[in-house]
Amino acid sequence: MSEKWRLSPTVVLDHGAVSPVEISGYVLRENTNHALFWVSARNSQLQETVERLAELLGKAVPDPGAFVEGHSGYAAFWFGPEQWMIVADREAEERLAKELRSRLTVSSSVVEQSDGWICLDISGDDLPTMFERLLMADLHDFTRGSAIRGTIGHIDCFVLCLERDVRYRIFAARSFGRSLHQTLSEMLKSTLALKTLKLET
Amino acid sequence: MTGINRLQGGMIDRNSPVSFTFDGRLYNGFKGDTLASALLANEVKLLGRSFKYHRPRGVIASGSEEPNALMELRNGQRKEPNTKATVIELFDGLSANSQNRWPSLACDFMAVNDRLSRFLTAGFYYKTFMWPKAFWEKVYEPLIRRAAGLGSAATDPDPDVYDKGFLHCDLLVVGSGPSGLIAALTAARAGARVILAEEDFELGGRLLCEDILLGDETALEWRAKILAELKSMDAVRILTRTSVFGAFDHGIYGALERVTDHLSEPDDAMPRQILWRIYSRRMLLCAGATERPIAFENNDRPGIMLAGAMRAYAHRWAVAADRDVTIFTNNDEGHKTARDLLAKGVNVQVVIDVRPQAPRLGDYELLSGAKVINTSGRLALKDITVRLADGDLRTVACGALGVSGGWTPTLSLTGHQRARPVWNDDVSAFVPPGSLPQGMRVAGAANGTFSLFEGLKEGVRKSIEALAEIGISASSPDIPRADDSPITAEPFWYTGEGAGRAWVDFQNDVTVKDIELAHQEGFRSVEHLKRYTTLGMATDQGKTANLSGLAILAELTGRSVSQTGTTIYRPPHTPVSIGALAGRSRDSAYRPTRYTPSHDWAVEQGAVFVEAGAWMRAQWFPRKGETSWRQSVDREVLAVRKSVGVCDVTTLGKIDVQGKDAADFLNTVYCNGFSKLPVGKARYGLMLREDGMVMDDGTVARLADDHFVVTTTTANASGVYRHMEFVHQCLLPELDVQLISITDAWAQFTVAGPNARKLLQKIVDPPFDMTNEAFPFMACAALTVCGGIRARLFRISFSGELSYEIAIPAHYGDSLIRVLMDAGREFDVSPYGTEALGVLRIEKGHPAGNELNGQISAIHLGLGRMISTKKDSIGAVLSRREGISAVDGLRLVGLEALDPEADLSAGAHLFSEGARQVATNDEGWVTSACYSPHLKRSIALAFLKGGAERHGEQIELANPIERTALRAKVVSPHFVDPQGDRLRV
Repeated sequence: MSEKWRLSPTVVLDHGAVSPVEISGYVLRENTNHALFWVSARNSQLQETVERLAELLGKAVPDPGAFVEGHSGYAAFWFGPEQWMIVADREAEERLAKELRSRLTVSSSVVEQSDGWICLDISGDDLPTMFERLLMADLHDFTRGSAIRGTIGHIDCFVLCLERDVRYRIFAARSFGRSLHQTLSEMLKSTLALKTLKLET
Repeated sequence: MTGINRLQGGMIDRNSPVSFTFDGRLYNGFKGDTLASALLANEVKLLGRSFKYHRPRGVIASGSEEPNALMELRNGQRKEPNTKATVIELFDGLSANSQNRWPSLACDFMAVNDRLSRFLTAGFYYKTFMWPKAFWEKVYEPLIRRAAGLGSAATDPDPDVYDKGFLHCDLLVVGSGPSGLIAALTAARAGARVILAEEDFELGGRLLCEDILLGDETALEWRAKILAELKSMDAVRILTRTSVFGAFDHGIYGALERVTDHLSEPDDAMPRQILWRIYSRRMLLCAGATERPIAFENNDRPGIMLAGAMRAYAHRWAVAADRDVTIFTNNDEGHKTARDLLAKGVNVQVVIDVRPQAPRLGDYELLSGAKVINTSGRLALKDITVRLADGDLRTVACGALGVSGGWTPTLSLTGHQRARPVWNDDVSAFVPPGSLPQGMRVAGAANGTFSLFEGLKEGVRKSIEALAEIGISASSPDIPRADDSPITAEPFWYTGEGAGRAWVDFQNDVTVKDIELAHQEGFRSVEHLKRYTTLGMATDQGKTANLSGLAILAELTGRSVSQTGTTIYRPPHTPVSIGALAGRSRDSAYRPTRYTPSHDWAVEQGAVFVEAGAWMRAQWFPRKGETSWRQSVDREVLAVRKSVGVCDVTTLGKIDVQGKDAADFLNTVYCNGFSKLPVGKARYGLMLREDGMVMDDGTVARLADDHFVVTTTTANASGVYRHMEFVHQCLLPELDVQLISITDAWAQFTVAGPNARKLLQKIVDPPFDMTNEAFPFMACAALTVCGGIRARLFRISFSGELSYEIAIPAHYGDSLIRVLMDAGREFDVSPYGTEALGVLRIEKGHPAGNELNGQISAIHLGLGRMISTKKDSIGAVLSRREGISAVDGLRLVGLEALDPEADLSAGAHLFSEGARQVATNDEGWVTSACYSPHLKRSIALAFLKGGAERHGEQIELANPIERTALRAKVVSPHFVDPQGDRLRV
């Protein structure tokens, strides 16, 4: 009977409520192509977890304030003490789930979080200047691979630097997606206006 | 009007004329002017009225220390009171109005206060308005507030946007005078990240106001050279129009950047102001110094100003305070003003110096050992009376009097962490204390180093020292040879001659007499003096007044200034608008909004929404023809009772708990047991605080031996998660438990009603068996729906009906609600909102936020038996306290209105029939109330003393706020299906 009823996924910024912001070289859009798995080491299993994740990624797991891009399209960012978020493209979700299950059976707790987070990509010139009015962290020093857990407009989020000064990725809880998008788009417009003001003076 | 007091030169752009209005009259100025300089250029001296006596007042300073020239700026929503004309950057179309006067500035009826001054001394209202007592709030205080005051704020919401932000640097340099500029250059050349903050719109500080040489260059040439280099460096951030107003812990400074205050039509997208939190590794304070006046009789007339300010107006803005000027000084600065004004073509009548051996710096008449003792002129200065060295009197006609009583270092920021400045006899001023806030240094005039050359050297030295501490090696740039003569001032605070009033604090109308009176009445501490007389309060924080005031107190008490000390400095150093403190956290952006997965669908249905915490939830779903919310809610409730309804409950907190000790962990945080909960089953859980009161409730579902999913109430989702993390990290770190919120990951819907199973069966994938036998009440399972979409199903009920909660990955939430509505059409399925949800749970007697108010225990709820005695859990011991467990204590009961038309209301208090309705007879209160379409009358949940034993009793409900008194019958809180048969079918 259930075959008659089909479900289709919707993204956070769907239904025309908001659309990607593209102004004067700045682009802010929702990235729906991500799968997320939260991994937390179980007691006395930190070393095992770190080693297994390193095998999965082909690189050591990231320290606080960092993310790594591993092989097979997998990436990871530090989430909390002995916790990481493993990231893959949406199409690799099942494959990643299987790999995590097989590698981390005993050592870790794993929770799929793909649907729990909105991912916003933002690009444009001199973005650290914009983030000055959003985030307590100093993004001027961020290079590709830097990450920070912080708060934007009262919303907890992770900010990952994809390319110094010009390209960043932000993860935040899904239900806050529209508020976060609004905050960021307003700040983009404000930053542009301020740049114009500084050019005039 | 044209600028008849305008001189040659200056830093104004004469090719950019600017029009503005003051009190409705049109004037002209130039780009680069301040409102004060433009008005002075137009020979407008009367700019305001004083706070208490409504005395005519003019500008006395040229910066943020200005106490007199306060303006209401702009109109309508953007009206801003108490702005200082001395720092308002002129722009085309600027509209300024004087304040605290009626009907006009020149003719202020409230100036009658000046005639009554003998009755309006310091603290007069403490003594005068004692009787009758009741008049204080209703008569006296409103009268006083109307008569004395500053400007009036706009009453409409502020239309501007404000931002808050964060900056980081190696060295923060506050102040861009000579010391600040060379210190910033020193650091910048060493590769340090430098922030140079300047409250003015031009960089340079006193360099803009003096005719001096630095090496072979003029002050402006040297400044331009330094600025060009600083601006070329990426690591240097120059913040003009930025006041650093507070020094906080760990090298953090608060700063306010005025971004668009100087624009006539700012872009809507721009913030008006930005409140910066600056994280500095080191800080160098080069904020300069403030000149102080000398108190003498009638020293507050328009035209009397600080000598240094006169020099600033002449050099920077090419404005003379008047064509005929006299100077009164106790140091060489007054003479510099006379010299410079003469060079600009201004007629300097005479220089009066209290020092018998005063130097002469120019071709002017000098009266050594003399002092000004009085002035005259109603709305502007006309002449002054001078006591000559030989005791004779002389009257000097003049339109302006420049006064210099010496310079006071601007060191407020050094004291924001309670350090007190120390007195330095050499400069007759307080200088920064030895113990400064972490990472702070002080250089230049702010440090009491008044020699320009020494100030430059100090700026370089302190910059190098500061950088060395953080591992940055810096070297000295070339320091230009400059004037190295120190300021020599003879301490002289007031002339002390005459019976009239001599002002010390212009903004608060505090006179020498007020200080004498305070001393006479026993106020010895400078802190008490401040509070009794209001010396040093209000928008200028006594920048020109504090030192004179405490010096006079010192003299009266026979102590030294050093022994008298200063008041404590507190942030903000300069006023900060409330808008900037709020930033963007206002109106709809006060906090972020969370949306449920079915939000868009609910909008399409025309749902009425309510904020539940940060969430936006559907409150009810009106249908065509329904004219009141009650009709919609009643229909939704009956749909659940009779067929099936669907409600989005995604907002409930959901916490994933894993680990081999997960069951033990839950046994500790919940008062009931979970170690024996079988896999595939859920259980109601009650969480207590340490004090035994209920913290939250919810369900715990066991998905595997080491895997649970916990739900919390919407309101307590983050609180419970935080509590569980605390218990895990601090109380039970030895347990193997991992916690993560999954609230946002799963869309969750309640499907409730007799047809709930039939509806869900249509979407659940085979071979999952939903029969009552295979999936009974309190079962849970992972399954798939709609052809393979993974889901979780919980058979739990908040309504008392056959009910399920189905969870699905949030991306499918919108689609699932649409599918459920389509699939449920044959059952006339109805969505229901939070109102119906509330009615259903009241009918069933389930506690919610109204009942779990932090003062209620499990025993009060009638759930005392849930507290397991076979294990320990948080709050278990204290929940057994005698006061809580007493048999006649509060118990949750149901109430049924005796009158079917009556509306019971939450908050009403309970009294036995016939009892006098006073607090001592209070027997409890109503927590939740609603109209029950099922029972066709108003019902309620309430806490009633001994309630468990009083079912059937009639009781009175008193609601003094709504002035209602109703009667109700005490019943079981379970109005519907008390045996629970319907939810087990």
